[in-house]
Amino acid sequence: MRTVTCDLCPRHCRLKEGERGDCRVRANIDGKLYSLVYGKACAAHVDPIEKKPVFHVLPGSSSFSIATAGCNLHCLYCQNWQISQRPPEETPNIDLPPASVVENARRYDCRSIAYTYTDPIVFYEYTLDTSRLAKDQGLLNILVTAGYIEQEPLKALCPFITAANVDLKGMSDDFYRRMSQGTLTPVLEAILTMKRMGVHVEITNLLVPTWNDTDKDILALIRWIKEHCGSDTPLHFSRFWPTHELQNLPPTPEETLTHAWELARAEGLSFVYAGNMPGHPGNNTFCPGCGKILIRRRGYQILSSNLAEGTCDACGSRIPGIWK
Amino acid sequence: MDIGVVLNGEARIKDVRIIRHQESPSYLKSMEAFLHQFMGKGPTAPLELKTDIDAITRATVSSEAVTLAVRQIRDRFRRELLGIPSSLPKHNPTTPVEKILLFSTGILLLISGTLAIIHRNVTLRWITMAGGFLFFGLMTASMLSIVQIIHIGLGNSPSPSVNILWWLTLVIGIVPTLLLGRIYCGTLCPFGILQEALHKMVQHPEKIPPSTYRGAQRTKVLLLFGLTALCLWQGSSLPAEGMEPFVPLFTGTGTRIAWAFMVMMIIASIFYYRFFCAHLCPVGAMTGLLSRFSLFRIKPQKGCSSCGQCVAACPVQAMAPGRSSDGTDRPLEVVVDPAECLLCGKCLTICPEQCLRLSRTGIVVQAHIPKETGRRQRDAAERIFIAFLLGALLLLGGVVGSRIAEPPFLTTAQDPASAANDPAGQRLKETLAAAGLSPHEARYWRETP
Repeated sequence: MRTVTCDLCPRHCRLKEGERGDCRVRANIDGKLYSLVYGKACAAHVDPIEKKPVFHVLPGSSSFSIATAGCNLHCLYCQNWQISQRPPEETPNIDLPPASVVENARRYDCRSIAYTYTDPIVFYEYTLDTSRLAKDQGLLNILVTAGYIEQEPLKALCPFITAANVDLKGMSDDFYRRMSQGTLTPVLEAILTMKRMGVHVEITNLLVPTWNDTDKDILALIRWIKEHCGSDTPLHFSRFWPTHELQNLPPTPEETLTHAWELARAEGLSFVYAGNMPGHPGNNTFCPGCGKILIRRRGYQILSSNLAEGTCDACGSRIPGIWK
Repeated sequence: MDIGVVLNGEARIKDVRIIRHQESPSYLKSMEAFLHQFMGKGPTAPLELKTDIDAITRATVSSEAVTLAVRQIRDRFRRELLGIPSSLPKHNPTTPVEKILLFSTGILLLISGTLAIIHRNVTLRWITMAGGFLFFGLMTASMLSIVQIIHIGLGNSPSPSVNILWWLTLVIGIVPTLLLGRIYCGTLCPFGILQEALHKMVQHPEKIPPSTYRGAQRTKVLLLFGLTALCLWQGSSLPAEGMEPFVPLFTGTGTRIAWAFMVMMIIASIFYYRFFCAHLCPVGAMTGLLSRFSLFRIKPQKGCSSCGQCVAACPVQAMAPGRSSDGTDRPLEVVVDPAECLLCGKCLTICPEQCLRLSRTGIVVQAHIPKETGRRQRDAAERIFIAFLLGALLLLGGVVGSRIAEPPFLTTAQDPASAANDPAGQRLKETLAAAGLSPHEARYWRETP
């Protein structure tokens, strides 16, 4: 009986033979650690890149989006719990090895591949091989993650990743423990490492009524981003919708969302967005130089763009991101 | 809160999950461990707080409600799948008034039955029997059953608040037996009453010779010990569930073979007095064993003329001629076997001297049954009797056997109980192979000593 320890994420699950980790997709088989979901996608869709949400990378382009079963967090508000909180034998899977992912992305005119829906961390080997292959063939790689990963595997992955949307769920360890059965510090470290290694990072924060919607919570988040990531880091406040184990709460009121959006702008963040609420002024990208609307959006849809090669066509300010 | 219960083909609980709720997350957390307790519970598990389920601290009311709901679902499925009636009474009295009414009705019937014996009153006995049939049979469908004895043996007796009728039949069945003998069997058990009433309808065949008849009566003792041992060994009352013919008759629930057995017992009772009570009822065997210690029993008093009419009249051959040891020289007296006597009172009313009485004292007599010598020719009545008995045992074997045999459908491959014996690694490989998943070696891990 050989025991192994998985060092992929901060949980460091110790597994006896036949046991799986907390993520349900990494198991000790005959004394070796195996990924059970390599090349087995439980979801594969062509999505607008705005859905990730990533607003500063090739706006209006399609992203070939894949996921496998399992997750290393267990958020009470998970929108995709039917796949994230299930072992792979309980989800419908298709055989989609890295080469097929790249091939499909090309066939459907996608400029990027997004590793999303659950958390690409738990299908790490699949993400790593696919993103390496995709990069060789000129495709971009988008990581949509909660960032609950160890430094070493993250550093090995970053060279292939163009952009990431990291879900920074709250600014207290207590929140992470209660909401997601995780911890805060590794997420903050992951964001900083990605930044340092040249990944374009956008941050999402889901505003959950009574959980993380006070001014104190919101300000802590804004100030950490401003101080550690820079004021040109895009921040998406996202509207919560009752689901999974938090159906007792109401959806986030529009005022809360607007308030957070205004607060972040007032604190000096340049690119603040309000998501999950089509028609909100926070769907748009504003020029930090002249205040003009650069990209007008409704939900995931691009209505108009006044960007010329990443600069404001009115005042010439450079907007961080990948624009062509 | 809505819960979902997953059961397999043998009505074993595989999972209990919350489907919809309005609770706080911390409350749900405490619920997880609670719900986990239901996993793997079999079709005859009590599913009761304090018995096999521990309540959530400070949420006893919710725990009770969830436990009851799971139990109702399990019971419904075990009825469909295995033909076992609900473990909960049709109507469980909750108010004190109802409870008192229930107990006093039972005790009233018991008193009137006792008075009928003491006063040799045949009419009062039949009135009591009619009452017993209505109350224990049609109204409450609760009769003393071998399953109760097995549940006590397994330490699974229900709490009175959940099933007070269970305790009522137990008290009414056992306490008077220790005082008077098998008065529950003779006057209160609805299936016994039905058999006796049917028996009155027809001309009866010749009496079965004592050696055969007495031998047949031993069958029920074997059944009692056999079934109890089997159930205790299996740790479940399953093999004994629904084998007694009164279960399908009064609850309307049973497998086809249990119904067949019930019909056969009804037919047998028309020809042979209380065929099931006398030869096959495990509860009868138990009350028989208990009545060996009863305080009062039918005993001949001074004045017996040894006419032998009572011996001839006893429908269950519980009386035998004996030899007096009171110092007098009379060759014939009677001795009553309390284990077989159903206190029907036939001997009391037929005695010309009226010297048989329910009493603590009497003439001490030694049974003296002359030994049969040589082979005896069996007549038709005896042959049919033996055929009935063997046929009944065959059906009974079918009823009990169907309980131990394979479940009706679905396999138990994922069953938590059987999975426990499986090496985990093998099980994981099988699961993955079945799902078409091929493991790929992972990065970032190390062997741990």
